[in-house]
Amino acid sequence: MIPFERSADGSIVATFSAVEAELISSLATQVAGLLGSVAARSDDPELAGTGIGGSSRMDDDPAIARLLPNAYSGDDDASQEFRQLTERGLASRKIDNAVTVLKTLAPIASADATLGGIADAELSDESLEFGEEITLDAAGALAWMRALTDIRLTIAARLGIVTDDDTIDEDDEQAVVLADVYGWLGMVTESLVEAVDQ
Amino acid sequence: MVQTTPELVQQERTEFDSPWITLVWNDPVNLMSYVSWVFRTYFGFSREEADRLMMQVHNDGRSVVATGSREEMERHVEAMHDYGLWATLQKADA
Repeated sequence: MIPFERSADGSIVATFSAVEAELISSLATQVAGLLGSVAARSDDPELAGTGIGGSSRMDDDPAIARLLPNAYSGDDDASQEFRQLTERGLASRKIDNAVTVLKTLAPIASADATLGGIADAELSDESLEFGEEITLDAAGALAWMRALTDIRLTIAARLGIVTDDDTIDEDDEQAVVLADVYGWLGMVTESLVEAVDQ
Repeated sequence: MVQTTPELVQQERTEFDSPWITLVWNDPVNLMSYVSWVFRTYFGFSREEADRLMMQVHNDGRSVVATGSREEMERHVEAMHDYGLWATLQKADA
């Protein structure tokens, strides 16, 4: 990977290898899948089919709960009412961001990307030999920032990283691999924020 | 004649009509640079103010980033959720 940077013409560019592109695509697909189940449901028959709406309460899955949190602090009724009106829209916009990432990476990533590839993924910030450049405009960069954030929120929820002091179980091989990916995505996101902010 | 400063009028109106606040809460995921950038681009804060609020979130666990009507705060909270920031609204005196 070559991290994100702002090119001379103002666009945001980065270079990803096929493995890296497949990894990000796989994760974006999973997040979109999680949110897809929410976007499709509505507890209010009046609103079903209108595109607005949502469920009555926060999801039991901690990742979904973090992506679509309660809006009111300490007022479950108000949170429920607000969720019923806004949840589907929020979930749909997050899915759109993930789809933007998938479209950007489609020319690099192969179609059969799976999460199983993570274990074999060679993540680096200096492998210049392999990889293709992607170019983002302002809207694309915003979608990417949001999608990368949603992916990192999802991984953190899976790893049980809820507070600044939480750490992963070093004996859990799968968790160690996932934490590695999480850290790498943090670096990718950081470079994107810096490039956009220039 | 006493000239009322716009700032004071704004403050009085805010307190009268709109006792609601938007809070952004600390989380271990979002990058400090990203949170500051969101505060600047969405709320229009200066870099200095955005960084101050971001550090407040980081150190104190939360920060009030907006005050206004309930509807406005709902809009801000939904926008923060779009960015992946953890935000809630509540009455200012709650």
